[in-house]
Amino acid sequence: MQEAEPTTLHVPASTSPAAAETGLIGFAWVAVLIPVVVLVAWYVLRARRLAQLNPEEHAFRSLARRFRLRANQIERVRRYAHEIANCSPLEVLMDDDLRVRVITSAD
Amino acid sequence: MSGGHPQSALPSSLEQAKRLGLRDRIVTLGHALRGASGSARDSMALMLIELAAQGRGVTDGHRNQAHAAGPIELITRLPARWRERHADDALLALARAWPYIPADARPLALAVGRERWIETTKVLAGHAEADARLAAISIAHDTADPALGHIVCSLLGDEEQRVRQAADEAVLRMSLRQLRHVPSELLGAHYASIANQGVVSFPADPDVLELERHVLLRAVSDAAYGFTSHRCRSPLVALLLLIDHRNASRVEREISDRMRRLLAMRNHPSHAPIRTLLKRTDCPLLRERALRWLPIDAISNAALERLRVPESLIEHEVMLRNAHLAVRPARASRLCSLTSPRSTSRAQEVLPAPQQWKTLSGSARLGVVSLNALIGGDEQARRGRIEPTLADESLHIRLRAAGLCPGLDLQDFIFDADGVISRHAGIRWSTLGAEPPRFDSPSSTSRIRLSELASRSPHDATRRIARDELARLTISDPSLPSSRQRARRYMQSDPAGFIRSMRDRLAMPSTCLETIMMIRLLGVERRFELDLIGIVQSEYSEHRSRACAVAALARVQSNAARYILDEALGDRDPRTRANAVEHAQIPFDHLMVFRDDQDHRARANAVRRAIVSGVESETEKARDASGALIELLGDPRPMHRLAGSWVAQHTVVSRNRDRLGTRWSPIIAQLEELAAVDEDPRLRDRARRCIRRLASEIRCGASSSSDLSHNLAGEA
Repeated sequence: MQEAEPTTLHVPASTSPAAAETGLIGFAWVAVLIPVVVLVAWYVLRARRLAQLNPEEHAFRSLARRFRLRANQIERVRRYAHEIANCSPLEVLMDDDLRVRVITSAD
Repeated sequence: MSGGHPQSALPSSLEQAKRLGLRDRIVTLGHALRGASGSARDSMALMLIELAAQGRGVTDGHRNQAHAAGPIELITRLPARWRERHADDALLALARAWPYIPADARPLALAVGRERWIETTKVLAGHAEADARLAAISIAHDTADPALGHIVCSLLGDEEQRVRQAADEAVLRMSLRQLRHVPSELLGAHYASIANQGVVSFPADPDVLELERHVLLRAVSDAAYGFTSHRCRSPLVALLLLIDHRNASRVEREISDRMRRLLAMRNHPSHAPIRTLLKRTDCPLLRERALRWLPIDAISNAALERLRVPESLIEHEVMLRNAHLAVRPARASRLCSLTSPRSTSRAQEVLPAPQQWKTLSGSARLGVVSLNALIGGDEQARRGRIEPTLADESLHIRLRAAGLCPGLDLQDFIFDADGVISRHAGIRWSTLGAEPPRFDSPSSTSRIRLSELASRSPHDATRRIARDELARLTISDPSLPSSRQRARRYMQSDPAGFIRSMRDRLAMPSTCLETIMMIRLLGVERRFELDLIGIVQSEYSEHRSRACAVAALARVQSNAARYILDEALGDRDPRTRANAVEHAQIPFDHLMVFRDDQDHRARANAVRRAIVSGVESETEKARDASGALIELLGDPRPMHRLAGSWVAQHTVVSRNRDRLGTRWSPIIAQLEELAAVDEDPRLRDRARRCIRRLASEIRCGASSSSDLSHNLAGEA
């Protein structure tokens, strides 16, 4: 044994495997949650902005959702409103007879 | 159904719309309202109205809920602001769909609030879509609220043709709505139908609307100033009709002044269309405006054209009612050009025909009289236009006509049943203050004839005017200065004609006496010596004329005249004899023969002449003369005593005291007795006056003598 060797020895702190696992899980949660929150916020803001920019479209989609229309039916309603009736799609949806006729003819 | 529900199971669109979010619901209802029909439209409108009323205190949907505000809500008022924002959106959607809202739902929609509607309409007017701007114009058109004036006027220059056209109609309607109190016939059929068309008014105090009328006026004024930017005529029509509004407030008068400044500007682009509108628009009220704006150079010619060609009786009426405006000289001078030679053919139409007289109102008939005098023209036409005034039932109109009619018609007004009109016409007709026509002219003859007729008028003032006029026209009344002046001027201007005329009058017994009096007053007895001698010598002459002729001949220094006077001393007529005694050159002794004349005139003349012509040194003659006076005063015959008092009045004066000598005191005593006890009041009065005069003369003489002695003492 050599005398010049240090008599003290730095012993690194030992981390328990359980604590490391907890930190990892926490980091994972944060790493997932933040994007989710951001994504949700982004989605809400975008939806609001779209609703503000084009309230008619937003209302039309909401109403169509209420009527449980499928994409092809929505497309037919739009086409009928723009090309034939020359009116707003909302008007087609709010007119019961017209709406039924358009949807039925689509089927 | 591939999409989900079968047709029968599909839920109602309204029910689905109710379940939408607030913003989506508003948008959906706003769009659906434009294409809906029937009951669905009513329901949608009501839903939108309900949403628009939320959060503004009108109908609060949360009012009935058991809801306590939290601290955040209390501090930030976020829910309230949220609701208000959506209420504004709902109102905007409602305004956007205004043309499709059912008529019975519109008052309910307007009940949301006037200020909110005005703000919303303002937002809508700035919308990019033309339909939205049309909706804003439609709101203004239907409500005709003056506060929306500047919004509609700002849309006059819109890029879309249909928007401009709608704004033009809306401005016209809103302006005419302010004139709804004006009778329809004044506005014309077309404008009256627009003005009287019903409106859906905001729930506001009518006084507030009256106060906000100036907003519309200001907008119209701005639009008229900026005519080149839109080229719409409705602001100009509004300007023509609303300027000089009768019930204008102070602010409105300021705006009217601004409008008037526009008319007075030089070469403004709006002047040409304004002139066209003024001339061609079928609105009788504009004829009154034309009369009002005659002095404005830019439109005066158009105004004259409008005045020259009336379209109907109501146009006559509306102008004639305001005929007082023509009092202003600037207007009067322009009105004179209505009957210029160039426009003679149309001059007859400026005023209504006499056949239409009965259909005019009283003020309009007054206007006819006033304007008839102003616009001139030939006298025959002027007389024809106001001929019906003679038989008008209104005193005021007849009086005005008597003051403004041509001279020839005055002859008719003199015989009016009303005294004031008759007097007024008589004063205008008379030559008072003017040169009368020549004595022998036809005009003078007709005037004399009319004066003679008018002198029998039932009105006192007219009779007096006629008599004065007759005196000015004739030379028959020597007692009037005007008649004497007329005779003197006639004699100077035409001596031969004057003499011929006077001889003609001397030859007529009815005018002989006045003519001799006139000859005496003019002092031209020598020229008529032979005529006067003939009158004295004629057996057919009246006694008064003969006596007057004798007095006139006394001033003619000729042998023939003296001979006639001497002969007249023995005339049987007492007046003639008395005048001869007064004027004939006879000695004192011969004169005293007449102291015992049976006629009191001759006797009094003789006594007076004896006293006046007596010489103080000849005491005998003076005693005889004064004795004759005492006898005359003491005569038992009343007329002789009366004649004696006349002699006393002319002879018993202080300067004749020495001449009367010792008889002075008895004469005074006799006069005092007569003044006290005589039964004839005229005699008593004369005697009393004579005594009073003598007393005053003596008093004056005493004071002057005392002054003289006092002065002499002072000098010493």
